[in-house]
Amino acid sequence: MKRLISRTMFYQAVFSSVLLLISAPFFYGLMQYIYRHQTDETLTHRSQYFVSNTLPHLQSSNIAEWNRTNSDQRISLPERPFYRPFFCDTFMIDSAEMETEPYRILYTPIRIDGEQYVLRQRLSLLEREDAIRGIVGIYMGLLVCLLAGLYLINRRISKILWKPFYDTLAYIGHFDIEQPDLHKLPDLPIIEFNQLNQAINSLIAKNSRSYFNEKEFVENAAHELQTPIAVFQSRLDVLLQKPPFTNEQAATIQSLYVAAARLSRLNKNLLTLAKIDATNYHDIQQLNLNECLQSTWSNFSDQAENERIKVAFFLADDTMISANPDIFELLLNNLFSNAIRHNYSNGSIEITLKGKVLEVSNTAIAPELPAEGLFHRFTTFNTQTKGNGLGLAIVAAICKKCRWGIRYSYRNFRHSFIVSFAETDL
Amino acid sequence: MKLLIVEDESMLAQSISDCFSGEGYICEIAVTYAEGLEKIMQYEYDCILLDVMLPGGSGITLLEEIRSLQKPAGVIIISARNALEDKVSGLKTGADDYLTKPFHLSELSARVYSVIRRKKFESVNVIKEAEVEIDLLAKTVHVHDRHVVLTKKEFDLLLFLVSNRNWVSSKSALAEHLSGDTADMFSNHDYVYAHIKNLKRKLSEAGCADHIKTVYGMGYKWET
Repeated sequence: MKRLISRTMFYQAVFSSVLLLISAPFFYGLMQYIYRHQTDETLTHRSQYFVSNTLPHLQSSNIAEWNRTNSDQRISLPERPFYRPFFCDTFMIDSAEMETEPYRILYTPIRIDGEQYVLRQRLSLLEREDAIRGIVGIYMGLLVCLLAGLYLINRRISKILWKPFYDTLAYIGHFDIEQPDLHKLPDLPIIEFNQLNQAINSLIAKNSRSYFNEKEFVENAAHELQTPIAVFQSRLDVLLQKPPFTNEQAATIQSLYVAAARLSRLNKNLLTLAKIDATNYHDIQQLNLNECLQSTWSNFSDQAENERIKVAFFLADDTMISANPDIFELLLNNLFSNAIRHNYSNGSIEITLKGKVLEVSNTAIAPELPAEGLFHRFTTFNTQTKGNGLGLAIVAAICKKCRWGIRYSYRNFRHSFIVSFAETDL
Repeated sequence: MKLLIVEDESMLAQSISDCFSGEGYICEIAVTYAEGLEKIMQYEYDCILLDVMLPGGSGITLLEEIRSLQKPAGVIIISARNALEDKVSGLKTGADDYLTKPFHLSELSARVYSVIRRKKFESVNVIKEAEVEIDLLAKTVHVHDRHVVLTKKEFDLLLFLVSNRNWVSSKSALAEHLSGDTADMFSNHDYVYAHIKNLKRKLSEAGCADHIKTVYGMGYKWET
């Protein structure tokens, strides 16, 4: 995975380098051409100057003298006759540098005292190595400056121009449909980003609406079910007053009571789940964990004793937490009932409090539970125990709501649910 | 004792009426807000059971009417909504108790009994039932002036059964009364039997007749 900016930069760098590489020979050629042209012009001027100014005064006896004083111009006899000036390139030894240097030479036919002579004028040409070195130097410098410039500009662009994009990304990253951020993504002056934000806003709006519709539906459905369940249960209570019953009838009534209780609990749990997020548990109190654990357990002690399940408390010194007592009791109720329901006769439950970490562990028939989906609704692993598959979902929803940590662990044939009331402890 | 049941679900109203008629109450049923208001204006009741969501108006508004008319009746709200705010607002408006649907008739009956007792016989804190005397303040029980030592749960059970005299309370109703909201987390309520057994033993040791009858293992009844 690469960042968009490094991709852009890569292409820009490749393009710049290729462009510079290809253009370098052209540049070299052009430079050579211009320089040679300039040299030719200078030589032509000099030759014209010589012809018009010097030649009229020059006599054949002065030629040797003149040649000595002018190093770059020489008059000599022609090797073969010619009638037009012409240029030619040659290498000559430069006495100062002891190197062969390229020279441009202009041969001009002249007449001195009626005799045919040749004026040879030379001008040093740009040395190829020097030229290439210079060009390479310039181009390297250019490339470095270009890349550095591109890098800086791109980085700045990505910081400034792409900022709204990163803001949007962070917004989506932190979005939680259960606790939606009420402010929307802003309108932006850049068309693409604005489209992105609008698309995300409408996506979120649609999803939130259907999420809350579903939630409202569950809540309404559960509310509407309360009354028929109440009718069902009350008719059973009335029926119970009219014995005698056969054993079969009695068994039927008893099983209807069980069904009514399960229905009622299922409905209550659905309502609770639907309402945890929406409810504001404003009333935050300082709760003594030891006291809460023991008083909540007292509602379960009969049930545990009936199943001959032993309970052991391992409590620390008085630990206080800030929480809403109702939601906290709901959490404990679900953890405790879970520990009893999935236990076996003569099993045990351990309730351990270490600092702000509560662990409820129990023996159970079931082997280690898969972590996947454990806290999802209606995930049941054991068909024998009559849970409704909502208890752990409620536990998870409460922990999420209160920002407590929750995890499951399995050691020594014991299932443990560990709740951390200080977020960082887990 | 006169009872008004304001409940739009006629089957439920009928069950409640069946329950209280059997215990000697005179029950009247109103199924709408208007009907309820009319009955409240015209007659005196000892206790009014109010559903919150009624055709034609809210039970809470009806409760405000009852209080503004200075009616002495005890009021118990029966609602499908168990949100805490509803409960608090109902009690603030002047309800004496609040019960969430679904409920057991014996629980309702015990609440009604308690509300009427508080309203009518404010100074009396001792219930005399057959040879048993229950002191509600001291939470003590005497049989033929002999003190019977009961656990808290046994005491609650006895009071509940006596409040529901001659009415069979189901095992789940008793379990819910003892363990509160957590009872219906389990389908097995056999532990109620253990408490009943201990209570019966302690009462009979004190010389009390066997008033607690078991009905097919499904429920218990205080019979006089």
